[in-house]
Amino acid sequence: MSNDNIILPSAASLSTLSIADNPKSGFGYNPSLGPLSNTITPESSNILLNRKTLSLTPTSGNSIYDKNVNNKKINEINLSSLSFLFCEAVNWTHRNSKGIQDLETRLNGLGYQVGQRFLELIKLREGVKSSKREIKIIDILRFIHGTFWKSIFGKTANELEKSQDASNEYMIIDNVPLVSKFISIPKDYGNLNCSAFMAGIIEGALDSSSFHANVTAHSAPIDGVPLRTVFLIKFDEQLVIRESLRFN
Amino acid sequence: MIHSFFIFDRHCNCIYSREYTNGDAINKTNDSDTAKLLFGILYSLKNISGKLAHTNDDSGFAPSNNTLKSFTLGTYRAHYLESMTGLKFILVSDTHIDNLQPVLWELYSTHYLKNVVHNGLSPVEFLAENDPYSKISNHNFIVQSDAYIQSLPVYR
Amino acid sequence: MKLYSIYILNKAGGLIYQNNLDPSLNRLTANDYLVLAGTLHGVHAIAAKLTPTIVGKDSTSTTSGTDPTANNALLLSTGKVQNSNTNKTGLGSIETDLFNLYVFQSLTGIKFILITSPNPILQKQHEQASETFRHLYVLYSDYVMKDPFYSLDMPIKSQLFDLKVGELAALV
Repeated sequence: MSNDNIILPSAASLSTLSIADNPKSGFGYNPSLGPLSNTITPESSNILLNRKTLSLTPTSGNSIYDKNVNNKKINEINLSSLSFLFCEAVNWTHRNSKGIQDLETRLNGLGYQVGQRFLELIKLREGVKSSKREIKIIDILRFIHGTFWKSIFGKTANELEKSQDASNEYMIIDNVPLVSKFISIPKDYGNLNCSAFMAGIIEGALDSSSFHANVTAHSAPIDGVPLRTVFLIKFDEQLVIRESLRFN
Repeated sequence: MIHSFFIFDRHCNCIYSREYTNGDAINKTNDSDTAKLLFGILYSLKNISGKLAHTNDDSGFAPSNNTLKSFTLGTYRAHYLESMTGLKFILVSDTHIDNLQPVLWELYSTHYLKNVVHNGLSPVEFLAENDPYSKISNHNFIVQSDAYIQSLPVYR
Repeated sequence: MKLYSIYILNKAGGLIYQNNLDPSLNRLTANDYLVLAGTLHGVHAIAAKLTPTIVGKDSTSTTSGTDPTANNALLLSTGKVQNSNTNKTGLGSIETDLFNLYVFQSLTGIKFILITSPNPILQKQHEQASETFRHLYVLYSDYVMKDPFYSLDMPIKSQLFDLKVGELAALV
């Protein structure tokens, strides 16, 4: 070791970075090796081909893109990838937005598209025979809170409540919203809640089912559940009238 | 396993450095840079340990009652003892040895005291570098401290 | 083992996070904490320079794990790699009468510093510290790196991270 490198680079050795949990499929990106770690070598391709796992990259005929969309088996994706993607989505929206309110609206807009499209997919997967179109407010809310939530976020929402103040307001409560699980809102951002994206998904799905509503996300932390979020669903007044005309 | 042994005086000079290699041969290195770097680390860490710990006396005059005992550098552990007169004794071992404080105390209280302090012909104030009297060259001290360190069960 | 304090240093040696969990240590001024962080960073670098020479020329430092192909093979076969602590040559720990201090460095240059209660059985304490570091690193990559409001190398202000660190400290 010569004298001129007295201050070593912060990482002195190329030893490996561990991935604490044992991945069930695929390979992790090993930062100590750089892009090299993801290259397909004879040995790695051998292991890849022998593993009966689903790959996101279309290297084999078994990739997620080659699967039939009408597949009832749940395809899981990595929460980390999703979190990083959402992180970038928030950053991008943040750059384009004029303020906190605008940021929420934009996130809501992003989610709206997802909700519209996902509703299509979930109805397709339910199949023509068992599937039905919900026409009552309470039924569509149960569907969103249960089946829909489970399908998109992997669990059902925690609570479904009716507002005591207004007849057209309902609340879905999630203790740990999936996309904002790791997000902590800085103090100077007021009451911004990144779950506005999820609110947008609900709104999109409701609108596509002909229940026009306005959905907003509000943080409502309680002891031990700092991320608890209330999705306030405000239906159009006409909907309530429509329902009373039809079912009374 | 013990790798090396250093003594610094209160003027921050390295007055003794001894290296014990794997074999029986013991060689004395003249690499003063190593000693300087070691002292630099020691000084900083001593400061930190004093700063972070509570002092019973708020006057600011009383030195902190927290003393540095050892620190690890990579795969080595340096054990440290400072006498009230500012002499600093350091033994470098591998990381498996937890505590060498009694050994350091023995080196100070027996070997240093007997062969250097009680020896009228040996200086107790050492001169700056590049001077013949800048280091402990006392034959008895070298032989006896070497023998003592090598007799320790943790030496190998 | 009881945790006194947790510090996180960025790769330039700047203090980006500090959490004093226990009042057993002296409370310093904000500036003193920055100096402390800088000092530890500097000492760590000097120590890395010193380690090959402190025991003479015959110290053949273990080069295992630096070979990319061997490394890759291990990763492929087990899906699991060793400790993420790359602090192999720098300052590893300090033991004093009143506290112990441990340093963990990630491959990306982030340093985690843990100040704990002293324990005469160093080996055991060391294992506990590395376990804590592992959890801390996971928390950092989850609650700091996945936060869109955090910019790299800047002070960590995430309340969620604070909360999780508190939970971790309560478990230790």
